[in-house]
Amino acid sequence: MELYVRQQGAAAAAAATESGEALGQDGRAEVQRDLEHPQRWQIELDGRTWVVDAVASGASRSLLIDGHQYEVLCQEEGREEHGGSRFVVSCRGLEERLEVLDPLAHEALLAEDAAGVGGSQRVTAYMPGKVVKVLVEAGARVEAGQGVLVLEAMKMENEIQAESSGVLAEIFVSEGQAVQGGDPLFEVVAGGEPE
Amino acid sequence: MTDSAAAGDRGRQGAAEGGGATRQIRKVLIANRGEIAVRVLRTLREMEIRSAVVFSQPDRATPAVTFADEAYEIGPAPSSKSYLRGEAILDLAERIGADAIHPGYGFLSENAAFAAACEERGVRLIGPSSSSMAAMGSKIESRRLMMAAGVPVVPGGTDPLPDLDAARAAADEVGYPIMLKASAGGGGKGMRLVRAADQLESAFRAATSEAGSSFGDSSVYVERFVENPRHVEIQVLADEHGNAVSLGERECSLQRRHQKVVEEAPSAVVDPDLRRRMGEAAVQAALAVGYSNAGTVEFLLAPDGAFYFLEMNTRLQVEHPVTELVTGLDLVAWQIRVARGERLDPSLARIEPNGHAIEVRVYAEDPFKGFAPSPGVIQALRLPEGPGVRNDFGIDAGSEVSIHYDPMLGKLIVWGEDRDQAIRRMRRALAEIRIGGIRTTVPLFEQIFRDEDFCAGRLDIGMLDRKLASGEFAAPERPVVEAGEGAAPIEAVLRLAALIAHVESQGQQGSASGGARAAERAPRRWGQLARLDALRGRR
Repeated sequence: MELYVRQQGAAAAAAATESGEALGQDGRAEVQRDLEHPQRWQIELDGRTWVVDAVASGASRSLLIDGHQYEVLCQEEGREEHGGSRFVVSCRGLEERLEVLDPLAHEALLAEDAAGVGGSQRVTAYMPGKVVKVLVEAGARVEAGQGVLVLEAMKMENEIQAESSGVLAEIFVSEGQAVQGGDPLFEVVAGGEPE
Repeated sequence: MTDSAAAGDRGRQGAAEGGGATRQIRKVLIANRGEIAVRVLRTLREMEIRSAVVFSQPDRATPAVTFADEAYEIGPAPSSKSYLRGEAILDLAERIGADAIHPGYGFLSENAAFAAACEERGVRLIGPSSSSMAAMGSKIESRRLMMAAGVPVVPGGTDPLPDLDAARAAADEVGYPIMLKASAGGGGKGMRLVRAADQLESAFRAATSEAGSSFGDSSVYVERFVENPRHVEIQVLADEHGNAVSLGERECSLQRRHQKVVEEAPSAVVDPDLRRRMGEAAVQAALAVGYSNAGTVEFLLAPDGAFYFLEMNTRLQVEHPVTELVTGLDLVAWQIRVARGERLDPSLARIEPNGHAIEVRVYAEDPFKGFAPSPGVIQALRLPEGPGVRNDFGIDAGSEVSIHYDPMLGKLIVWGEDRDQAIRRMRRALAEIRIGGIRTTVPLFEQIFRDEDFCAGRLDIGMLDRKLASGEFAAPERPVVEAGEGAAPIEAVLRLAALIAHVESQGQQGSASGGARAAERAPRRWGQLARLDALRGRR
């Protein structure tokens, strides 16, 4: 089956700005699973074909590729409205946030990109706390890693940053407001135009 | 002593046990949670002493409860309504017939009022007396006591300086660089570093005005500023019969904002002569306050080899396992033996460190996002095993890391024949550990244990903060361990794994023909299986 895999966050935003078609070219994969031996996969990715033997092993996945063994921790972070799934994947100290999309979702995202609205990144509170300061006004352009607001939780002030570059489309909270874990804080729309 | 009287009151003063015990301890109530409760429970079981724990509502399903013989709910999640309820814990100890309370660290462990309440009610607190605790609890009082006992302290005086002239005289006497500190201070407020005499006037004005506005008391005092010191502490053990021994040092210089992150024993820079001198000073410090039980005397060690008393921790330390691994002792067992009135074994004084031990504190924090707390459910857990590895944890797969308590999940400790082997072993153990579902400080350790300065033993208490600030320790853009020759790039492996995980969690077949149908038949089957596997968390 046809799938797309792309990186989320700062690195992805930087790559997209540079090439303008990070979504279009790389990341396309043709995934085939052996019906009789379901741990065997053949995956075409970026012009290379990989034969992979993958099994769940305790907390992680073991991938065997051409005799080389890789233990990969793969945590699903959530499912997007358009059907993609988000993962935090790590192996040997390298960690990336990856999103896997089916062709329909991928096409929808491409269309969004073409329309200039891009993907949006909604940042939520990771724990209950209080918003002590909002650093950026809605409508302004933010860069990946830029602090948007300060959340006080467990008596510590933590700067909450934009995970990707774009336009701060909306701030859902105001200074002094108490929030619960999971509450949306703000949304950044990639590739948008500042108001 | 009040202790013998207490045991007598309770009618438990039976025949002395081996080692000269004057009272029996048959049931211990642990007034703590998490990894340290588990740590104490292990020793109690080995000593065949009945164990009881208190727990807050959300801690019901944690190993601290499931390892215990008896467990009693003490209140809701907030510490002030559970683990800090000293009176309720004492009532419970009486009700269930516990002879002693082990406070662990944190919570009530250094609360002299709680220690006094235990003494009044005839329940043994496994720790020093309330008066030793109180004497060491006050910075100014303990400094005065240590000077009187001949223990070196950072040169300076705690007397408030009335004016600039007095400050100038005091600074000249102590010698630059100096630190101006607020008498009522804490938290860095009202503190000024002065490197030379010509900077004193403006620093004095700034420090007094900041002290005044922060504490309502503008007085400041002068202390020598020790540049780039190490934090080296001595483990001591003292009995109720006036015997005290030093069990060697722990190097705890790797700190983030004054919180220890990595600890080791012995220190890379402490030779036998320095170890003996620091040990003697620590024993003097303990004897000066009539100390009994396990305690830790913290020192600043200057680059020139001079050392200065910092404070004494009147309890078991988080990092006690590194001392256990290089001495072969069970410090919790010795705490209990001393609390039973036993005498220290004279052979303890002759113990030399064997090999090298290193501990890392694993926190539920994201080290590359400003150490933001990362509460949540631990989806999967695998702790490293094999030669020379010890895990002190208080979590299971499925445990919830709550925002109500310290975010330390536990400690990973390794032992090696020497420091180099211990470092290699820690790298190996870090490659095995898996804690899924939350962020932890493990990725930071992977960098620390490959850092040139750390591996060479070049440490000081500001090193970690500097390397974090400069970006030297940051989220890796390259794999920490490169793939071997002929292997796939890790970036490609990550993508392949994500694709496979996606397909498996969709419950679809990868073949073009069968995909859609399989998805309709068993939409979430694979996902459920994968999650079940993860929750079982084979270790």
